Amino acid sequence: MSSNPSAGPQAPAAPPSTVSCTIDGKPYTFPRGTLIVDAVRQVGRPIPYYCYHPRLEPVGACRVCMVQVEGPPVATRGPIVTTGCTTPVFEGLKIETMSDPAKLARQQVLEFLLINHPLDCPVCDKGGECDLQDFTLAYGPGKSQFAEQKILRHKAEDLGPFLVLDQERCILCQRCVRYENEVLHEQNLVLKERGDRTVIDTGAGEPYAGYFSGNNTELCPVGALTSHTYRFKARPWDVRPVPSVCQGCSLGCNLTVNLRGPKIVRLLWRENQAVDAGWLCDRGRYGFGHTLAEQRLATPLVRRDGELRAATWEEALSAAAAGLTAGPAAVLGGGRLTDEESLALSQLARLGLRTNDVDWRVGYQGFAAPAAIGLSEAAITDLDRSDLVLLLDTSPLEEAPVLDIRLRRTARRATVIDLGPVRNLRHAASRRVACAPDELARRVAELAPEFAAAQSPLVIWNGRGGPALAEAVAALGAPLLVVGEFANARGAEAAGLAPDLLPGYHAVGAGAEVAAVWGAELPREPGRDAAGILNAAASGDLQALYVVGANPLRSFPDGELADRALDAVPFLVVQDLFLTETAQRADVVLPALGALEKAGHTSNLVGQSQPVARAVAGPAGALADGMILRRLAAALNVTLADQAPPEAETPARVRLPEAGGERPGGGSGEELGLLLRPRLFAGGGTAAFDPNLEPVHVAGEVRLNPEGTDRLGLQEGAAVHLHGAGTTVRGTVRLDAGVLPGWVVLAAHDFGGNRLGPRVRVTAVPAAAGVAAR
Amino acid sequence: MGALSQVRSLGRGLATTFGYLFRPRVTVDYPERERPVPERFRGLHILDRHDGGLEKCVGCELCQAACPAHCITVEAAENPPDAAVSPGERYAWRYEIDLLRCIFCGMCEEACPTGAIQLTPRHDFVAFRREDFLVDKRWLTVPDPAVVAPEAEPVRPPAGAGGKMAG
Repeated sequence: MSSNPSAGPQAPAAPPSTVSCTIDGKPYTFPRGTLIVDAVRQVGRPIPYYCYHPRLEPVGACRVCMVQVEGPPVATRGPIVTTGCTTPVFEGLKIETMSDPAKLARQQVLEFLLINHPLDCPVCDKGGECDLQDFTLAYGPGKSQFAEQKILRHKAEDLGPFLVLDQERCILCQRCVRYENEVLHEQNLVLKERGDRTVIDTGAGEPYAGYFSGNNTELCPVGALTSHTYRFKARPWDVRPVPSVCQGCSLGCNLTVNLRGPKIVRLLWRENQAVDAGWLCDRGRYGFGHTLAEQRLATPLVRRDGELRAATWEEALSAAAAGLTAGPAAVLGGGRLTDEESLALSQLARLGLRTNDVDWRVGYQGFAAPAAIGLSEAAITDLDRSDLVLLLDTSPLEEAPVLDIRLRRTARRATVIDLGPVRNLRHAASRRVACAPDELARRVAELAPEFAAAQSPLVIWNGRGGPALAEAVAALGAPLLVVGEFANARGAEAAGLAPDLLPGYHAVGAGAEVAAVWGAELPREPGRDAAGILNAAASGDLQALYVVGANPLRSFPDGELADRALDAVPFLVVQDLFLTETAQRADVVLPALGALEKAGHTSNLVGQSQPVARAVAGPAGALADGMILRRLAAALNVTLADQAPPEAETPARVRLPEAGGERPGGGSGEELGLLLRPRLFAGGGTAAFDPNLEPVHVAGEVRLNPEGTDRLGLQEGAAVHLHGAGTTVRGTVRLDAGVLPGWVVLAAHDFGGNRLGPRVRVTAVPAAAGVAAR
Repeated sequence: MGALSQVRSLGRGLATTFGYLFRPRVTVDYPERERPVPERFRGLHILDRHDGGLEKCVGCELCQAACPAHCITVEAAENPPDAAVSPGERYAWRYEIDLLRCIFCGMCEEACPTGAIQLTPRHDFVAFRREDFLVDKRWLTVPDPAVVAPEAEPVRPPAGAGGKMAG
């Protein structure tokens, strides 16, 4: 509260970092530069605003946050009324939020805003949580002098797979336009036309193409931008909020589930600056449709006479227990379980099946925690500080989208090196270093001097590439962010769902502390990794395989091996939400509950364990994975420990699978090298069975560099066949200059791509055959 | 004395009884005849239609929100562009009232922005099963003069209720 008016004539000293002012007669002190609207909010006084948003830059477009100010900078003119969102607090400023001039100014602004705004609140999805409704009631004029016809515009403009725009309701606050500009650095939504004809639209009129459209519906202060999935589903007073955490990817964005009765009607962001910075991606926001999908498994299935038939849980569990103990058994999967369930599965494998043949790595990712390869851990917020970021053949946009939003902010300020065969950072300035996958380790080593000179460097990697690349990354000495392939890869690794790891990163064979908690001797020999398990199954060394929440036929890089293994293994138990390709081959299928249907904890990509609430019940016949494991353990005479074993003092290293399933060498001539790279909306689980995601589901996408495609006669959208390893799959061409010439990129987890071998031949589908094939 | 007194009181009582024979009747032959109800009597609900046959209800759920007895359930959906049920974008594909729970306070009528839900003077409703007092749109909506026989199929959510728009 100390003001400093005694600054001498020769004292150009830095101004004090705080300023004192009064709000509605009470004195307060704020950091210099605080906006009046922030100051008023902080002291708990009400102030209306539309264009202002705490996560966006101020613009002063809506003019409704009018306050009366009086003080040194405006002293000559007496009190004036100004916008609070564009005026910072000054020393000695007197702010009045409820004076008559301020009230009148707000009233007039609201009257103007309502001139062309339709009064269709009863049918508007925003009605009940609308700022225009609330502020008009609190500060509005009560009635309008405007008796003329309102301007009529499009009521339900379809802006893309998720967004609906009501042009009449838009008050042109530009929150969406500024979000696209400032946060996403995209221009998916822009202002078109001028004056009273101004409307919001997508850039070129095509459907909204980005991954973050849903945030616009929450930013929009009125009912102009709404979503297809929530359209007319509920009113705000119907819904019951349940805080939870998204398990669509490894980032673990916080969200609020909104339920109407027993059904999820929408998911909303729940700001956690350290994780999601308040945003959600469209996969996370709209990927809840699978909870009610018709294809959800609702009863256990047991194979009888060659066919999967419905069975009771007792029958299914006793059949599973008998089959899993008939001979050597192995466990695959676990990257989608909660932390608690991963621990239970780890214990079940070690004590119930007496094996270390257990591996969560049924895809390309080789490890989950930097400590598992002896590196230090970066925090997500380190991205806000670092000056040099290496993006190592990893696409945050496809693998952890909301992390990409943060990375775009970083890329404006710092150097981001986008290294790998596919361009991954598309919307921000970055240094692109294109190289084939087998050159990655060499290229990483070349960056060592630059990393040594950097103040706070950081590496983002998804753990694909094998021990040689891991060594090269370790040599950089920078902290690492490991983007997980599966939502809780980190929790699975920490629970010891790996052949050479026990819970808490104790090495297999040195797990006395684990054995003490579990109260039993543990198998001491390290087991086989996923490839080893599948090889053993294919060659008949395994009697049984227990696949938990995984679909190796789609996700394992060598799909042909997975195919042979699942065919050869005498007994297969699959635990999943849907009858996936893998589950179709099972002898026992155990229906599990999904991510929003069970309680527990999930670890995000930096190992932060976040609580997950049970928001919906799920199918009546399905059980939570943890409950299935508990009952299966009982059938195997194992008592699962309630307590987690202690962490190892020095975490044991993980043996990385050789090359992590990556195939060396590119292509030449007709032959192209094949890359499997993650795509956000691809996959065979919830992405394939979710009606909400149907318009954006990626299947059969063939990404090629435009260079040389003319010669092959391939255009954008052309139907092609890919031939490799004696298999042919069909796809659709998408030309992408970000792909290294000589390579073709298919979506990882898209069925068929992993069976083509390292090299493929691409041929156009003859027009006549186009209909007949598939 | 005692006997006489008893006969006298009997006579007085019967005089009251037989006296009613010569007074105007207060009962009516219900249900052949009904007593008129007050002008603002609140009885059974109807869902009204516009003159063209479109339903007045737009599925805004304000009646549901206003109902102190929580007896109304409304679920809305997008009007099919080629066969609109109500004017505008939104209609109620589900509208149910639990008449046993309703207290006939008229708050729904008061809250309705389109005058769709109205309480009529009708008060005769009987049924043999409790479920029959759970009335839906087919029961509530006044007949469309353009439609000869109201459709008999049960009320079901439209394909993708409230979901994607057609086209």
